[in-house]
Amino acid sequence: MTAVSAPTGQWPLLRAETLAKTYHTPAGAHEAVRDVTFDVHAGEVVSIVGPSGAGKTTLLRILAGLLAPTSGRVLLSGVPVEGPPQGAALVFQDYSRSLLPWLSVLGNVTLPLRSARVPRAEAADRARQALASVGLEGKEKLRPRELSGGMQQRVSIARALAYQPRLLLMDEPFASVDAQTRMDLEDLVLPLREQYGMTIVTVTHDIDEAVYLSDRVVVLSPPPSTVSAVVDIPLPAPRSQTATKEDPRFGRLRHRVLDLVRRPEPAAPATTQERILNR
Amino acid sequence: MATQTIARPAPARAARSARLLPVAGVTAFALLWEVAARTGVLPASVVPPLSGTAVRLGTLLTEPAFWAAAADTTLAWAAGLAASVLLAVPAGILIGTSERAYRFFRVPIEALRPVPPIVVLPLALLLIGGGLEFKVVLIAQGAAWPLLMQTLYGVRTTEPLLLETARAYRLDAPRRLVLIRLASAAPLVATGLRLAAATAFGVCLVTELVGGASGIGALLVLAQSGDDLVGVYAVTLLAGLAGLGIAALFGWVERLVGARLAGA
Amino acid sequence: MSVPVSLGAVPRRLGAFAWQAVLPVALVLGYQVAASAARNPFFPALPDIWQAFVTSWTGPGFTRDVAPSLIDLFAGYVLGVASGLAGGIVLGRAPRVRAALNPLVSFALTLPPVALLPLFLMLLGIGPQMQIGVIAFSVFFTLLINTTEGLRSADPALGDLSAVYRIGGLRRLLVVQLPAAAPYILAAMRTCLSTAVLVMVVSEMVGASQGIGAQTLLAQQSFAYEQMWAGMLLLAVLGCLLNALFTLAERAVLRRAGLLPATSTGARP
Repeated sequence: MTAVSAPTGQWPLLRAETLAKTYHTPAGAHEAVRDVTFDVHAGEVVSIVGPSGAGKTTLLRILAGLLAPTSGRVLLSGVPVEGPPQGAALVFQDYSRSLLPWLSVLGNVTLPLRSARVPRAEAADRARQALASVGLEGKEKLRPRELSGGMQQRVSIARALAYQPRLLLMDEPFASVDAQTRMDLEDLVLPLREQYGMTIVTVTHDIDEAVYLSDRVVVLSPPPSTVSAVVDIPLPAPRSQTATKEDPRFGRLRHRVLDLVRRPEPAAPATTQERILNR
Repeated sequence: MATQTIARPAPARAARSARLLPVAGVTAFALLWEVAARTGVLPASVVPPLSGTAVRLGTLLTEPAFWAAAADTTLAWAAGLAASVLLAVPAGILIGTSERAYRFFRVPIEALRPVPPIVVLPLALLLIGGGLEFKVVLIAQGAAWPLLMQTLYGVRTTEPLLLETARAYRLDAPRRLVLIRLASAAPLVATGLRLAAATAFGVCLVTELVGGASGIGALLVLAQSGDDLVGVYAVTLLAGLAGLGIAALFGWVERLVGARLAGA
Repeated sequence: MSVPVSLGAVPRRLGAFAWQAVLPVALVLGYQVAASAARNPFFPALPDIWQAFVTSWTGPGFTRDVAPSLIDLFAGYVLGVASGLAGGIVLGRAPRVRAALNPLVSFALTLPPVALLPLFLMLLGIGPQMQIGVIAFSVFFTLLINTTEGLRSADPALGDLSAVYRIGGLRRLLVVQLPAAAPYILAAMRTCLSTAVLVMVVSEMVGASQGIGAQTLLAQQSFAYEQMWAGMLLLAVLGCLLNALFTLAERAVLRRAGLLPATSTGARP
């Protein structure tokens, strides 16, 4: 796949290279991902969307180094990923399972830092800052279950921020919260990208959210997944729930992505021709 | 740590090693036992060689006295377990179906449940001596507890919506009891039966060890008082195998009932 | 089910309480009336049992019989829990070793601990070491299998979390894995406490001249029926009390950790 290269000849921050994943179950082999290739450049927000069952979570787990692909590889700044790489953080879909109920909010956020041998005082400082930036000042001593779902997901995000990752991966991060909270969290994430200088890759089944948050949207085909298209989202920053979503371009882009997701025919040679890989 | 989550052995290899590892484990343990005993790493006064123990086990199986003891233990165990089922399951259903009845019996049940089942042994020994009757009574009262608790729990946690549906369709009371309450309690009762069967075996051995009733436990006491270490090892091994057999049998029943009725 | 808040609520709640107290009170009174009417030496009246209880188990009786029993119980229990926990952690991290040892562990788990008494009696002789040994053995395997199971059945999300944020080693074990396995471990400890009391009593009946179990059986053999009843009473109270204390502690620990207690039947898989 030498055809896929960054414009400057340097490595992109993240490269997914001909990824494929086949699960072997007692019932037989299940091909979840067939051939997925895309790049993410430093500072970008990229969303991965696709019809349900399109192996989105499988793909994200491969990107996070939690799952070994059957073939292909993931490169982070040109270095092959074997196991969860340093400098990458993951916000899990299910906050209630990924926060430890026996630790306080602060304890949950400092845990990865203490594990990375960050001194106690510095870890607490970074955690407090991260918690403040997601609007959770003063909640440090509470237990996760004393917070609402949206607040728990904020703790999850704060944990990732305090970790100061180069790459932030998010798996359906706002799927388990109500609509209002969802908008709040979407608007929370974008400025944080600037503040923390992160690159964000998120998986979502929500087309609106993908278009609203992203610089580019990677559309997966129905399983076994291939990349149907990569859609640029040239909407101006800063984005806003009202202005951006009323922008006619937003509507057109949303329409286009929706069409690509809904297109009935499965992955065929035609779709690979349609790949728009570089900007 | 990272590579651990990544590495997944191929399924065929995993399945084969899953079958072979237990065999390898038992073989290694047996070899280790034999070698340690033969070379004197473990003195013969502590662990006799496995081969000698196995030979003794073999001769034991040819002795009529052993079979008489095994029959005594089996009979007492089966009768005690049957009595506990007849006692505890109907009691659990009766008490569990009515909230008022449950409240009435709650305090004594909760208070007596954690009492070790051999507390009444001295009294039972006094009243009915050391025969089969004594064993059955002691086994039944010990094994009844897990059965009673599981039956109570099963009957009381019947899905209320199912009961309401049954009432809406005007099912008569006996049908409601059998088709709804008993059917949904059955998997839990099956678990209770497995626990009761194990308890019954343990209590049975106690009656033989302490109460002097005839059976496998009495064989153990005999071998021990005769300073026959190989004999003690052989009979203990047999008791363990019997325990394993009981667990396998009632585990199978439990899975069977669970598969048939789970979620009913 | 729920009692509405009204003026009728207080009497009704009192009524519910009284209803629950009927049977226990009736049993105790019934025994007393029947026993004092029958004058059967096998069934002494309550005041006589109480008298024997005080003389047998307090003062010198406490130091001679009760204290050694409790010390053996405690020592064997702690030894069994600690070693079972340690072994369970090792097996929880080594799936192949676990698979290899599985038949042996199943064997030890289904062997009634009391069947080991003659063997331990021969190997360790009469004395506290025998009692402690058998109690520890009976606790060890249940703790071993439940700790392993608790660690193994932990939410895979916790494994992902540890992997992504590189939480490893002792910190992962102590902060992530063991707390997640706590409901299993505590349920096993609760089950084992009952088993340990039973094994303690039987081991004293089989191979000791001191201790609560030994004294109770001795009382029966020497026709001291009040004393026998006092022993049965103490053992019943002990079983009940230890279980109640453990349940309270278990609930407190799990509530503090934001977890739910496991049911007792889940303890022995």
